[in-house]
Amino acid sequence: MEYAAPIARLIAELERLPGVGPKTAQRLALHLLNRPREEVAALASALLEAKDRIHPCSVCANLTDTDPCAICGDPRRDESLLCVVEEPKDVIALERTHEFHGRYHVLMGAISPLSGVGPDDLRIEPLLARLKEGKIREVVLATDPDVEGEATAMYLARLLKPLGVKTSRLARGLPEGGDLDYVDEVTLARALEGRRAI
Amino acid sequence: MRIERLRLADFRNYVELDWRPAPGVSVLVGPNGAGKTNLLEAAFLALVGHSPRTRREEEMIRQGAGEARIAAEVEAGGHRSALRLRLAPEGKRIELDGRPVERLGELPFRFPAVLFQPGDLLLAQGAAAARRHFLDEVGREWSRSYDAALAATRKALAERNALLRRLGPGASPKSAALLLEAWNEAFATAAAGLLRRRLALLGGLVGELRRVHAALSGEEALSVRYASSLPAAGELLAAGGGPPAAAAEEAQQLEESLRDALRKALERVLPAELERGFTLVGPHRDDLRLHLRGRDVRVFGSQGEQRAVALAMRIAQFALLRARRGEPPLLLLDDVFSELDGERRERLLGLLLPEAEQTWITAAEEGQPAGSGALLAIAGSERVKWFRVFSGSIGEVPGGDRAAPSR
Repeated sequence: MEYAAPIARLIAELERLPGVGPKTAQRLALHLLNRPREEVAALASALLEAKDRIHPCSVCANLTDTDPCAICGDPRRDESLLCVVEEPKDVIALERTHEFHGRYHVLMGAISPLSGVGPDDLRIEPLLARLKEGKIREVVLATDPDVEGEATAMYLARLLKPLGVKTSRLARGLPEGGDLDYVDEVTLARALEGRRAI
Repeated sequence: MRIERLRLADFRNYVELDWRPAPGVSVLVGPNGAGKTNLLEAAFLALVGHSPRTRREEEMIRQGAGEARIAAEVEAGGHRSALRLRLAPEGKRIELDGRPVERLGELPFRFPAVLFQPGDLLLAQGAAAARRHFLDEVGREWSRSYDAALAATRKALAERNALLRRLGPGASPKSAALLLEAWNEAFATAAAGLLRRRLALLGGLVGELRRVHAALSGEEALSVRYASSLPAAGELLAAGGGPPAAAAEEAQQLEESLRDALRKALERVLPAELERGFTLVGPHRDDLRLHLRGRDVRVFGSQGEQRAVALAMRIAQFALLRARRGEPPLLLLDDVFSELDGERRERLLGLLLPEAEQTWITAAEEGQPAGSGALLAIAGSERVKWFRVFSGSIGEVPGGDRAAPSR
């Protein structure tokens, strides 16, 4: 016997989420059906509200419900220091260290010829536009410590060189092949302290 | 490194098995197809994370079963651990003490095992890839950071090759100059890390290999050379570069000079690389050249000489890891006796068993396998237990005579 259509549809929708296979989708669906109606409604409205209100910041591309985002709009932040990261989640990881007081720029990925991602697919043009405004003195390249992140940092370092801004890279000590947001805060803070010029 | 208990469910021809190997030597006898090699494979798979026999993992699931399971109770470095492996058609999952192992490449360092198998002849006979694979296998067991360096190099290589193919033969390197420079740098950085570790590994391995080969064959003529697509790497090794205990600063300097050499080499070969669509220099193009009396063993060696060299490589692996780790790795000998004469067999056992702790040996013959006398003399009869394997079950054979297997 098959599941009734509404359950089957719920399972099918859940299965489209990353990391969720058929078995997990089925378990989640049955779990949701066992919860009180208010709880399910809260989940549904949270999904819709996040989707409707969250958008990328027009300056840094970090996810935000204001524009510019809270970081870009904060006058106490050091506008001469810019940290370049791959994903919005990396902003959160670095913010948790409380060590960085500059602003951010999210590339939305890293250069990967294997996945067909080239420099034109990343937010590099907007980065150059921000630098042309002339307020930024140092760019911290905080792409992931894996080979794509390294290559992206190398590419940007070379690209920015003629512009005369100082560029630095997070110090080693980060586990190779890892995502920045998995690194514990202490390691990340230390790496930020020991960033090196490239 | 010791397995205290091994349990299998639906693995190869085992429906269910619960076996406690001897702390010393376990000799597994039984007819062909009984499942002796499958036991060694299961142990290797659970400890090291991959099968030594196949890349198609589904074939290890018993026919008609949905998934295979292996559970091993292990003692390594004074710590007891529980390894659990589930193998399903969608993939495998290994848990260590109840926690999923994220990076399988780190397992060999924690649970080193050395397996001798008939296919090892390829180490002496086969293409360079077999010897590179050997170096990387030993490297992962030898140093915790080797696996990360290897994985980064492979990734950077795949990315750089993709870029070369995308650009193609007609590309003007000028328009892509920044991109090429960035990937040269990323590849050179990763590859220099791997090369430096390989050289450090070879600093210890080459000596062991020559010593062991001399003891095994009675000859002293084996010469071992790391033939690198990056000439500087070979020279650094020849000049004694990368001693096993190099100070951190020296290691860093060596890595820097390897990176410089790689950078230059990559720039030099770029036109040819764009033509062919892959990277022409780096650790993925290197080989371990073995010469006897000035002649390449792979091309000119007799079958017997090649076999001795291949055995010597495994013994050297075992000796190096034992010295480095302070305790012997699990030693797995799959059907190595049948092809050796009595004298070689005795030398092999004489080199291994006095240094080994837990050892599993398979022998295809019925009853007392060839070499039993030497085995008992060298290992000490109280350290040896005999097991009879028969169509997916195992039973201890008291005193080594031919009792029926318990089921």
